[in-house]
Amino acid sequence: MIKKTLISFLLLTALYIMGVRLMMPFPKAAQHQWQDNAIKAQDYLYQKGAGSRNVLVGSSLSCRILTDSLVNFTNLALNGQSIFDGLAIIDHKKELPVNVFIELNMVMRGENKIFTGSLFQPMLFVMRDKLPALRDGYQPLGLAGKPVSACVQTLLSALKSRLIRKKPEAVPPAIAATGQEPAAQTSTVQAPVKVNLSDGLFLRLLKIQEDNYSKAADSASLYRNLNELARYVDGLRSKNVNVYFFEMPIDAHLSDLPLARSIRDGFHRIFPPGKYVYIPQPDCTGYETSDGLHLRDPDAIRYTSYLKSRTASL
Amino acid sequence: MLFNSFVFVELFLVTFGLYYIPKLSRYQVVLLIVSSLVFYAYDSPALLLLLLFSACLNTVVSYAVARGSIYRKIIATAGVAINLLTLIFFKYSPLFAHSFFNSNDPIGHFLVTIPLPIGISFFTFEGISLLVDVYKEKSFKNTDVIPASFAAHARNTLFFISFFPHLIAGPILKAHDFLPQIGSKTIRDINWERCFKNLLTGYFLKMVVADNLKDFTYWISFPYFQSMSTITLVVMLFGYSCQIFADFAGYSLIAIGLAGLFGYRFNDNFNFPYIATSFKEFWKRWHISLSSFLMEYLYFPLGGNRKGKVRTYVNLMVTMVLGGLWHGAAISYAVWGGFHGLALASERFLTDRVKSRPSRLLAFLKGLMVFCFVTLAWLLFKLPRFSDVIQYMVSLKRNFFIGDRYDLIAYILLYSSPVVLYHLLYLVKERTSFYRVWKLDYMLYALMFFLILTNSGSTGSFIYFQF
Repeated sequence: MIKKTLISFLLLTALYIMGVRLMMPFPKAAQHQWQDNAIKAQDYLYQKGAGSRNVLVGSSLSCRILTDSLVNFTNLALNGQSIFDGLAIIDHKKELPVNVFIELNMVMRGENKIFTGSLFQPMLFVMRDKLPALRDGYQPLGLAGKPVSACVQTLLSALKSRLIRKKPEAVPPAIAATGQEPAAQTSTVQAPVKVNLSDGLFLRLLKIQEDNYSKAADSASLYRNLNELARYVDGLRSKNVNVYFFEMPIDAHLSDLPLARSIRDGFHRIFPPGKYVYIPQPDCTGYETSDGLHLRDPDAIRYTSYLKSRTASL
Repeated sequence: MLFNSFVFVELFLVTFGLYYIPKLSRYQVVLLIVSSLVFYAYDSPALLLLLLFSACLNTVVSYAVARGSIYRKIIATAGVAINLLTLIFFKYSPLFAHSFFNSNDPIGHFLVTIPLPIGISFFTFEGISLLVDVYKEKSFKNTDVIPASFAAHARNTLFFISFFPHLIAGPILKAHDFLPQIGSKTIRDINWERCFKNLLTGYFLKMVVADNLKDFTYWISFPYFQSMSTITLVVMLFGYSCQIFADFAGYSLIAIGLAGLFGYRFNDNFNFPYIATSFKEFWKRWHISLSSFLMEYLYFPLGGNRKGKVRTYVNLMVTMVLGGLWHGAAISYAVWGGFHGLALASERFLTDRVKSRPSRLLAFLKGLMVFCFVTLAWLLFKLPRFSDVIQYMVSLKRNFFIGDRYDLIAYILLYSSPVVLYHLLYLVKERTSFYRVWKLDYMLYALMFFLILTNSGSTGSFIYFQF
């Protein structure tokens, strides 16, 4: 039985590897946030040739930046993770970019060793390089999920439309107030909390962030992370890579609270503005977020053009 | 150290290679002890001292009891008490601190900073099992199992407590099951097929099912769930129910498979729990090593069902609340245990009074009710604060008209399907047509192996590590 299992396994794997290779390129399927990050990282790591001139590292805040309008840019910002993961990925690739853009906002978050460990595990790293079928974007169940999702959508829509027709009076207060039903979220990746700004949920989320931002960053942790960052920055600069710092706009209520100020001050102390280039944070007043931190789509586009105009002259 | 880490694979291969070298066969137990200590100390070496303390305590006490000291009852009781006090000190200090001290109080601050040694709940219970078994001498004769030499007994006890397959997340071994198995093993003793199946199924459940589901059920956390539709919330809860099963049953199967490769047999820890049609049956199928431990070492000593009906209900509640607290130092775990205790007591009360004719429909409805109750109760595991649990229930009721997350629902259903299929197998396994298909079981195992290679989720700790 063991022998039969192993032979069947080898056949199945060989077929899959060949199938993926023959059908390449086809769209990768990101099932969830972690995998979306892994796909981004693997695309960058296994990209053949010189790669992008410009690489941006950051947290989910910078994930909102739309690089399709930025020339020769790779966005290595990772949802739920930090600049240190992005920098570790850059560090691991032989070919270095010309410019690296580093986000300030979430510097308190350290490297996710489980994530980088899973990317760089020597045996898996080589196998994924040689056999694209083993990369996260080509997981068989991930690819199978799309048609299942379409079926689920059809079934649930039909079911709901029947139920809603039967009980039109059951409109919840949130919808009654806005007169609109919140849009369906069909992606599990980068799941932003879609809310109306007048919605109680948004205000609750903003309150949570106000509480977080009302205390300055713990100085020991901040400087430990900044010194770690300095190690990366020095390493990149010694290899003639230009490093730029930028700060994503957040809700205007938060942008000048103690946490944001203390992070800004820490950066300026370790990386003095005279010696390092900063792309200043635009006036946050005009920017709208979904939860206090993450830009809504129109404002993400607006910030992208701001970044484009700033980087054009670099 | 995780079973699904490369460093563990290296440790295992080295240990396995040395273990079956004929010239080293005298040192098999010692070799497994050394490997187990490396396995335990890998993440937090300092906490190894506690494991060694537990082994020393149980060695000395069980040896004294087995040698027939005139104070054997006092010694055994003291041994059990010290085991429990150690567990309480390390596991429940933060709970006491939060309940009785404020954060600025030096005692409160000290209690909060006490580390929780991984696996303490498991090895403490195993120590207690040794003391009780040796004291009662019901399952074995002490002279047959406890060596005359103190050094040999110490070696066996340390091995029993620290053997790495069960060390940090069970199954909880009982002394009467394990101690008689200690001896010289040869490679011919291995039941390769059984080990292979257990390991493959265990790794599949953990790495493909649980580790993928974890990234979808992540959204059962405050405040994210508030923006999800009722259907999405229901499906996420269902997914979490499948995840917790796949995670823990997966771990148990890996442990059973690994132990088998070294010639030791652990009892099954899960037996298709979600097909249970009563709460009593559920607890005979879920985490069997814990429920049987609680039954043998707590419920029966409390009097079980021998002291009248009211006392039976009380005993059930006490056992389940303590069983809940065993899982974690938070009131929510006690409430979770209390809910199950209440369900068990109510079921007993109703069964005594209402006699119904067995029918398939009734069995199905009862099974559905038990599953829904158990699944809903898992919320107390996932959400640490009561207010969040209440908010989840409110969102379940309120968010019907919010747009559904189709991808999330689809992936949860997809990754939960192996758990559903696994349970359906139980229902058809008596049919002859099943055996015709089952001859091709190697195809299923090959598919699982393929998915482990190509479709594993992000590495995550086993849920039961925290216990």
